[in-house]
Amino acid sequence: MNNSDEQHPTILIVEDIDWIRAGMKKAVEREGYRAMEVRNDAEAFQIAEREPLGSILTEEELPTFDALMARLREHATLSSVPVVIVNPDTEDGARYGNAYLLADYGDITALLAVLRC
Amino acid sequence: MRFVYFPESSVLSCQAEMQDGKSAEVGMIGFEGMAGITAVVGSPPTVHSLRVSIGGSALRVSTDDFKREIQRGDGVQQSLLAYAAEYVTQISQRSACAVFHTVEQRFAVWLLLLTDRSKNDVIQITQERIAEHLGVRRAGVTVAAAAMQDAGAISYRRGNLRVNDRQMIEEIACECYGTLAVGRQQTTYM
Repeated sequence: MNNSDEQHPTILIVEDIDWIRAGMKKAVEREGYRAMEVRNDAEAFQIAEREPLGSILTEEELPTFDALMARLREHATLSSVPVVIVNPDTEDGARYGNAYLLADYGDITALLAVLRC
Repeated sequence: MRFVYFPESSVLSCQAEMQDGKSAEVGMIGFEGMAGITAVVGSPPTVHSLRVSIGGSALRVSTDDFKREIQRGDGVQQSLLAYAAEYVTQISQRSACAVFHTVEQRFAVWLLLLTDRSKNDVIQITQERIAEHLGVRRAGVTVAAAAMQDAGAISYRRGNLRVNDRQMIEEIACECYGTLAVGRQQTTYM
């Protein structure tokens, strides 16, 4: 939490491994964003019911990744929320539908700015 | 295995591959050693595979010729035995390291071992390949690399990893690097 919470909607981090999730949270909060953390798609949708989300940050090796993406696509409101997927060996900001690839946390600010989070 | 290989500037990785496609490096072979020990000692075909981590030069000898040389029982045999002992130490120490130490520590150890052998502080390697070496997810490498980059120890961009502060990486690494280091002593067995 910091002074910029009111300026930026929440970034929801979906990651099942604790230390990876902590690293993602650190990267997001360092850039002034508010982060919430969940471990899987079920928890993500519980949060999404009560919190306005600016973006969702996850990674494609998450065991529930396919279920998460499928449910997001079908959801009435969350289908429009950008999803940032960590994939270090790709081009930053490459877009696939509503999903954007993030190669390096150093570029997360620029990517979130493009997404207007 | 028809040939045994003696890396010069190249670095090889011995990989254990699981049925689901996941893999992890169990041994690293550079100028200090050779690939093909199991073929020389006559054990059944290895269940592990070899990959090139850093491209470069290597010498090769036919396995049969090398076996004959070993059977003469001179200095080559002694060198082989000494290296085999070092290689077993490496495999066993890294097994314990994978159990007890964090990914960031293991990443640091792996990076030090690799640059000891490549003798180059710039490595062309994708984070996907690093993840395969460490047996972790790509996002885990991204987190570990970001922490080391934030500290100024490395810089990584689009498949190019540069070691900026080797001493800092040694401080991040666990005690296992002290056990496994070969570069500072310029150790060569083969």
